[in-house]
Amino acid sequence: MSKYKGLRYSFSDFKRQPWLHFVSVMTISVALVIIGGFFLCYRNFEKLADKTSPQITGTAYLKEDLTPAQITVLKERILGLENVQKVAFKSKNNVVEELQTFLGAAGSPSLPGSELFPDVLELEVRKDISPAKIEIIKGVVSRFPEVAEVDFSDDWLAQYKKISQFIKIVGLIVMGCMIVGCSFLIANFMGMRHQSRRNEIEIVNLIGADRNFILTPFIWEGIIEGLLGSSVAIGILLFVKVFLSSLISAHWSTFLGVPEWSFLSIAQVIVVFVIGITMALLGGVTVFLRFQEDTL
Amino acid sequence: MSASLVRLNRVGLRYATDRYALQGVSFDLQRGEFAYITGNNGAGKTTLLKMLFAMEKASEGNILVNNRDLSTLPKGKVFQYRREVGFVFQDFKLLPDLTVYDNVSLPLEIRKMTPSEVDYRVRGVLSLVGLADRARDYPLTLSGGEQQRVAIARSIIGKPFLLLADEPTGNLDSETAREIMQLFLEINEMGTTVLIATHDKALMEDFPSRIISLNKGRIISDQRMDV
Repeated sequence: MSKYKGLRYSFSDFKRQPWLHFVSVMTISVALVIIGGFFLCYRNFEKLADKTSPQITGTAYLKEDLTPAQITVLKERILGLENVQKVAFKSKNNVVEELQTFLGAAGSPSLPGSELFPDVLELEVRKDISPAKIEIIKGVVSRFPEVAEVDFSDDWLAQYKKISQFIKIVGLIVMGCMIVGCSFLIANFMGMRHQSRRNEIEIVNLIGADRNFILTPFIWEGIIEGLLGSSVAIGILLFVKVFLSSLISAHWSTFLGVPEWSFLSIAQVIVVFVIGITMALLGGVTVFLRFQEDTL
Repeated sequence: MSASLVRLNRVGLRYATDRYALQGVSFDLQRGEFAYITGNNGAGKTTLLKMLFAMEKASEGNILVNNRDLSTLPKGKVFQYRREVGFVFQDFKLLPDLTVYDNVSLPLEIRKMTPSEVDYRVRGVLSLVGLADRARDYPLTLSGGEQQRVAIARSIIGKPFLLLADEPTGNLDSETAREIMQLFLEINEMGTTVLIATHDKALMEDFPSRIISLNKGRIISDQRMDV
């Protein structure tokens, strides 16, 4: 069948069996809303996690009796390290003052042992840094001769990364299960559709139609259904995004600030379309293959 | 090279249950011949036609059609063979959502013929079966006899060398059945070999020709009726 004829025949089938195609498109849409919904949640949760994650800081305890020139040079060297954003010097007096402020009335004007506090350099690193890179910074800084000890608030980061990794894996498993579930849904639906088209395929097969002639309308139908199903799904997701973002911003902005809720990226939209068309095509081709298995 | 168009040599079809649908069936059909296959229900008429149309494969013996051995015909070549052989079914097997014109033109669409050639041949064959004025109608708006004419038109539009018909008049009244038989004779006179499966004795008497009788999958007689 020529491409044009195949397309015309597919369109005429949409007119002949509108409900069958409507259900088919809706099945694809539901599957894609679930998959696209996962993409949407993942994208925004990642953004939210990035926004709410606190600044990672470290402290380099300096040795006694360093000159201001030595401290300045050390600051510059640490600031030159990859992933280090800010370095601030605090003298032992500043440290004691901060401690006294923290302790308030309980702190004595002259804290016993306060002379033991060393001068420190406070480091701020990038938020998205990995625990492994913090270890590298720690190692490098601790090897400077002016530094006595280095300490980072990185324990929680390791925990955070582990949890984040766990959520990612669980999310992927859930998405995989959803894709398998949706495929079963579509396969069952296609089985129903197979019965409705069986007679038609049988007739064209008996009058000498080859594989391409029989498959062409199914391929066109798959492309049309996939495009329609994906478009409906993207529309629903867009509505959900607009609705939910306004709802969350109105009620939860106190906790979450006023985040910019993102829609799917162009790449994710393309993935949704590709999955939709693939699902529909597989469904159509399955109808043909089942028939071929049974009779040809 | 065989002079016969169709040659069956000790053809059998045995099911897994060891029951035979056909057993030791041998006969020849010459080019341009008109013949009937007859017998009671379950005699094997339909099975025999299905084998000749490559819908079933013989488990014993071999079938040669136009010097092609159907037992060695690959699955992927069956469609090509079916383009050379016409088949008329008792239940017509028309596509209800296509017009008479589109149903009849389908075998030519499959062959990727040009629209002008398709149009020329469809109009010609619809005139032959007397349905030139019903080209734009849908099958379900036609009578049984008319639907069978459409099915015949579709089966001969590809100019097959062999036309098989399985109880083509089974669903028709006697008057319409005679018209359809007349049509088969006309097609035969144009050179197409015709093999019709029927158990309608009256019709065979009205249009006498060679009759191959089957009973329980075996040929019990093969004779020419006198005109």
